[in-house]
Amino acid sequence: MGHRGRIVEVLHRAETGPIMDEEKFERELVAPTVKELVKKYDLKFDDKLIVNSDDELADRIFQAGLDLAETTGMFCQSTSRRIVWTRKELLEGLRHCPSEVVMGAGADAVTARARVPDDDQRVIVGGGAYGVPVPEHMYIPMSLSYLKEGVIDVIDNPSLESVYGYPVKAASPWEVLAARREAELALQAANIAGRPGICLGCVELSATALGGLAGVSYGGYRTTDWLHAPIMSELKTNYEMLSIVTHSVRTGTLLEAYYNPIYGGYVGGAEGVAVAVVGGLILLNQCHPGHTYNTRPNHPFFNCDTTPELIWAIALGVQGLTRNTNLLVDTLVGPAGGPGTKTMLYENAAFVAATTVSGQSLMTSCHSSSGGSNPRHASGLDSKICGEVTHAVRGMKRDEVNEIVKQIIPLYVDDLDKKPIGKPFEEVYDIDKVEPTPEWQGMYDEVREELIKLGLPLDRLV
Amino acid sequence: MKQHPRLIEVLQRAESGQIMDEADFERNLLGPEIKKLVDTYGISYSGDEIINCDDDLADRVFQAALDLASVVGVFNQSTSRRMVWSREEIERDLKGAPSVASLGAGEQQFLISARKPDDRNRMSVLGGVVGIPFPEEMYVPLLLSFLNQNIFDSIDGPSLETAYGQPIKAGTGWEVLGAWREAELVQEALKIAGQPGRAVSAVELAPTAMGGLSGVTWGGYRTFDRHHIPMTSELKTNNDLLAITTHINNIGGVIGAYYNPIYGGHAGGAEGIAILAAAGLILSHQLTIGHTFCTRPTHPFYGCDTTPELLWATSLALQGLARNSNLMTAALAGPAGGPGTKTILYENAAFTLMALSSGTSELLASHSAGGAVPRHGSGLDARICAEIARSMEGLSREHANQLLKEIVPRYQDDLDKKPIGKSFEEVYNLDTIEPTPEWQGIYDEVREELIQMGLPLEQFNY
Repeated sequence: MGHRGRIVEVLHRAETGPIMDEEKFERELVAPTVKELVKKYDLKFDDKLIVNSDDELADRIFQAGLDLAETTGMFCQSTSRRIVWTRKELLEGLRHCPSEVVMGAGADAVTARARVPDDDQRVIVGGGAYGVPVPEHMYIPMSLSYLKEGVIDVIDNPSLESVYGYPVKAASPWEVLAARREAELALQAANIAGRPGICLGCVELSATALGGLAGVSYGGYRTTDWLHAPIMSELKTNYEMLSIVTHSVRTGTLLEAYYNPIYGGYVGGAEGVAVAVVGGLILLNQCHPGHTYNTRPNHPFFNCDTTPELIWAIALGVQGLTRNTNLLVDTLVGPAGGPGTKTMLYENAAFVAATTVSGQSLMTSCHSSSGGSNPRHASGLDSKICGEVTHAVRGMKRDEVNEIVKQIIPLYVDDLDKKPIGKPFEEVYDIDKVEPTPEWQGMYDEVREELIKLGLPLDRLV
Repeated sequence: MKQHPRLIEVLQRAESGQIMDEADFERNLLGPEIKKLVDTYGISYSGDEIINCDDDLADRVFQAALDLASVVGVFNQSTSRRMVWSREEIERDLKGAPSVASLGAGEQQFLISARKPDDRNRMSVLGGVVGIPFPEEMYVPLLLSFLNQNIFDSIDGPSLETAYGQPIKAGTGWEVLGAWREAELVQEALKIAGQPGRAVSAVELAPTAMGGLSGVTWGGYRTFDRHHIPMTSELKTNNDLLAITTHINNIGGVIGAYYNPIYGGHAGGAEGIAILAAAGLILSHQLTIGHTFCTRPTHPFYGCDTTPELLWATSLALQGLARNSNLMTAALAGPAGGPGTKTILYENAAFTLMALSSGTSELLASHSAGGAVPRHGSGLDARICAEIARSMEGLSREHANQLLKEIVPRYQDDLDKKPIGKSFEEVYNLDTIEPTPEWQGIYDEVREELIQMGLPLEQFNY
């Protein structure tokens, strides 16, 4: 079980740690600690250096994240207790985290490996609608629009709006049925695409532990798929999530733990988000011991993570972690733009270029259209651009990419507050052929050409 | 998929039936209805017979149970709604009930079939302690005390007192871990016994859906094991149990539903128990769409189901169902006596004779010492049941009744003396997994007495 055997200790500490009021945890512990650490480590957002290339700053962020993790620990909402660890324990946990993981099975298996900034190693490309709600009849076509793109290595699907025509209710047997229906459709799509062993993110529809537990079972999702167990903002877990983690540990299912701090909330601005990303992922490794660790900080008004401040914070957080640990870090791009807009393509390109050269092991995409909140607003091309950029920039230097990102951001930044949600899937794809409409494909090709001209070698072969 | 339309109908009725107060359901609906049906169908316990031999009475009990099931339905505690089916729907679904089920795999695969009273067909026998609490270190030896005899078709394990030394808390990650620890220990015992395909009951420790869902998946319990789904007393379910039902239907698992009415409670005396047990199993079928349906009415003071009144009531319910449907019924022997006592052996023998002659498809043995005393269970407790079942196929009710009139007086006066006997480690050698000479001696003595009474146990040949 390696580092995952720690789950017993996690469950134990969730019941024996210091008791605290949830509100106090965020207001009187997390927020002041982050503020103090930003000052102590002299962290400051620089809009000229969106993609940081200062290794010393990245290392300071790592130390600040460690301080945060050690000081606050993780809050367990079910017991109102803090799950706390000493610095020595956190470092020990990081020392033994997996630095390599096989995702998927058979000919469709891929291997994610720990990377460092400016690394030339291959990055695993995750594609899918990441929980964007879709009706049942559109599930397979939408999934196929991603599966058809060879650049995508692993899939993360949409959420079902209903199950067999009935609404899905959390913490009820309907959640169990929905998890199964989702697996059924996801596997069917993978088979149609001729990629039966491809690693599938799961369970999209798991509001409580019921979906997560029921979906990964006989005839459903497999142990080679990618079970997700998030923590809540800020730095909070609960028994539902810990149960999913425990299930994953005992079934030996791949686990993706994730944490999405909120910009402008308890962690403050860009500097605080960077510290929270590092502290949060360190705590995820400790409390949700899995394989890959994802972050997708959120802008509270634009619902995206592609503002210059957030790209800076995320890139910096990723660098701090990848320079100082072997964690398999990944980020999820959440553009404000949606399918059928140039905005989204620019946002995705900028975000992915910045995070890939910062050392992430996996790139996951994407939470299209106001951060995944608009039903049916997602399509395969949304992720294709991310995959292409991922492969284009690996091996490039951070300062080189910084110059490119600085040219891309002005192309979309003024649109972020205009809700550029684009069009729903059926308006940008021919659902029968599962192909983009000429209009959407034309827009994609145009932006791709622009990006090549800006210096992103999307046409490179190796 | 074939079961899904009915399953969806079940889930829908759980949320759309008539709203009612739980206390009203039992006190103002169930209690008076049973009382009325006892009068309407002229059901009366005289004490002259311990096993019913009157076919007409058995048929009347069945009709009364159908009435009760269609009038009362099942109460969903999570939604405070009554799930009701018309008599026509119930009869239609009973007609479609499976009459054969396959459990286990490979050399240990076996069939359970619907039987009739006085039937010559084989009654299946399950051996185990059916959830009696045991410490972790004693789990495997206890299971081996049943498995090593190689006379039971399937096995039912104890409940774990701890998981990895930690207390197991319902609805938490510990419950998930507890389910896995249980599955792990069961598999270890099966490997040691060389019976990898033996069907085992799952999940003993599932106070909520967490254990029931998590334990039945890749690397845990298997689809060919028996998956328990209870209905709580009286005629009540909840969303946790419905979630387990949904999961087991989804994975194609074999469902062993059960319902244990309480003697002297809302059902009243023996006559009410007969009707309620039959109605409960009919409704269990309606609710779970399962395979086998077990009852174990409980005496509120002795914790057993072996008083003459309960034997009569159980025999009547089982006969009513066996004569009028293809339901595969099961009965769990719940003696007041425990390991190391003659009482338990007499009680189990009496209960087995009742079940065998009344058309039960499967006998479960046993809930030793009322099933409530930790570590009070052992392999020899159930051996007597298997010996009788395998030596006396075709036993008539009249013959069984005569035998019971000799056996019951041998234990009846002990029932109120809490004859819980000794704990497992006091009646078995834990290294050799053999009964102590004392316990084996008591067993041989009772066996000899039974042979003297006319039970052909010397013909026992498994």
